[in-house]
Amino acid sequence: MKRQMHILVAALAATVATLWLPTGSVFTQEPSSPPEAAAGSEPWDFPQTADGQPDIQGMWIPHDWGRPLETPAPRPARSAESSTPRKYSGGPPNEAGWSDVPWGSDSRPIIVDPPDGRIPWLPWAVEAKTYVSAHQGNGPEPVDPLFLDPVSKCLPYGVPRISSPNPYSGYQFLQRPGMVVIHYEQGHQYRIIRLDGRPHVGANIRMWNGNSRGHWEGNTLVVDVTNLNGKTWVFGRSPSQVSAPFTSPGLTVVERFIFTDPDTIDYELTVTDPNLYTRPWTISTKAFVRAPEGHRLYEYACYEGNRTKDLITSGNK
Amino acid sequence: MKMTRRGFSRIAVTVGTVVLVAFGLACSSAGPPAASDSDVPRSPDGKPDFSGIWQAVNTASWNLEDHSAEEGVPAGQGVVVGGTIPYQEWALEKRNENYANRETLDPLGKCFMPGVPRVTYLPFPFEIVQTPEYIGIYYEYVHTSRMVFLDGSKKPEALEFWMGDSHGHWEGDTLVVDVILFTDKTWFDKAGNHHSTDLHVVERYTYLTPNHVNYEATIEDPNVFTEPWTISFPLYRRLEENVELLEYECVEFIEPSPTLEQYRELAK
Repeated sequence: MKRQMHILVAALAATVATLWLPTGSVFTQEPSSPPEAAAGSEPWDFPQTADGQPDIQGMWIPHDWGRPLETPAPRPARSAESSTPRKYSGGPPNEAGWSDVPWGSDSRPIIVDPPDGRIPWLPWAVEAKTYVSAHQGNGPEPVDPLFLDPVSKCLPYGVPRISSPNPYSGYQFLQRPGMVVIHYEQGHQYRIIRLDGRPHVGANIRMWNGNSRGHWEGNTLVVDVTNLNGKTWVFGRSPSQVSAPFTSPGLTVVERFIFTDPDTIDYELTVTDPNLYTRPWTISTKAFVRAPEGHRLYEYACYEGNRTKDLITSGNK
Repeated sequence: MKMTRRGFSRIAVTVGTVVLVAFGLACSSAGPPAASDSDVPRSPDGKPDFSGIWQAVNTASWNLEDHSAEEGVPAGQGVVVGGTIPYQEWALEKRNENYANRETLDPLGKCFMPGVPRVTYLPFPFEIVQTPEYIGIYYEYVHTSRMVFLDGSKKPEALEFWMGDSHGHWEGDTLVVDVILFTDKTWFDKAGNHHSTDLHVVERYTYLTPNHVNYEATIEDPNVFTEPWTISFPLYRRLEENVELLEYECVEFIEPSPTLEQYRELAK
């Protein structure tokens, strides 16, 4: 992972001076009629694609990635000396590829419903996730390899976790008539979101990224995701290792990519799984902002050089 | 289940058979060398539009050259123009050694990204999403992908990519993709055909008919070959109603995941 980051940073630095060409598209035309404004957002008239979608193509980078998934557990009081914030990156990269935002400077949970900011686990699932989070190699308990965060094994992030704001580092949106593609650098992943109204694939087909069907509500891309395989963790990066938000094959999600202005995407996610939760729950985060000029995607290899699991398992963190 | 070569071969044979049946009629005759102007899908900018789901129907992923059948491996006529890969002597010896040890050495058996051009002729579909400045190519196999830059983006230096770095341009109605900056850790096929980091691949995508594209890749690597060589074969458009890419996530067959029942056991 560390090596990957070095490569990434080198790559970013190498391209800072590269001329960035804004995404032009022959599908772009003057809007023939203003798109319906999404509820709760300022109306913004995007240019439209030939089939009438807001044209949101181009490079985006993560935002808001220091915030925890859930309300953090209360911690014992610390002395003033030991409470100095850790100087880890906690926001989008600056010109040098690093963040100016200290890690953990914003501790508001991204879960907005339920109002307490916690996943509404069923009682048995609280016990399970407590075991899982205690056996990640972060504390006194031994590692339980089967229950390690799947990402440590280079298994896919899956949907929706692949959209978690993260430092690996960039999302390119492509559009075609009836289609939005999100090309993620992280995990060399992609999603092809079809807007053509076709049914989901058969229920026996289970996938890490599930099966996405989208439609536009004004400037909001709403995506229904089914056929998920229940092998992923729901959302979040490092903070999720505390929450250990494992999933089951009962998982379905609805994502809302809200293009609030030409440079910002708010992300709302509603998670439903009657196997695990007492009720659906929702997160909301300012997930993505436009990339600086010159940003491009590189290749994220993982299993090709993964030692994370071995290091964690051997206690050499 | 650890994915062995044999396991992969069986999957591949099954998939290949399904595809052959699906395309039996569609691919019964190769078209003229290039489709006439009016036939092929075109973008609003007039360029041929290669968007859609495509798949190779051949045995190149086992061996680019002519080969007899083996258990789980169909016999095949090679796709190398001229029939033989022009190896330097040492490199031919290495290929033969790779072949002898292919059960354990094939990088595909380790779930690594397959590289270019091998990803094109694996027995899995891929989808091309074409826009004027960027062409995304999305492969079902280990959800690997390529972004082909047509916007004149500067090529990076001193990096290595499993899938290379792809920059495209148009030569008439042919999409030409220049691919450089490879690792030396991928193979061209299961027969151990190999290359160095100086590999340079030039791909050419040309419509034969509205549902057939000729794929040609010229392979240059002065460390390994005596001269550049070329592979050529058709790609077939997947025509099934509502067909879309699914997933083959190789790592999940090596790294098990807990089941719901195993999570429930934790609470007992």
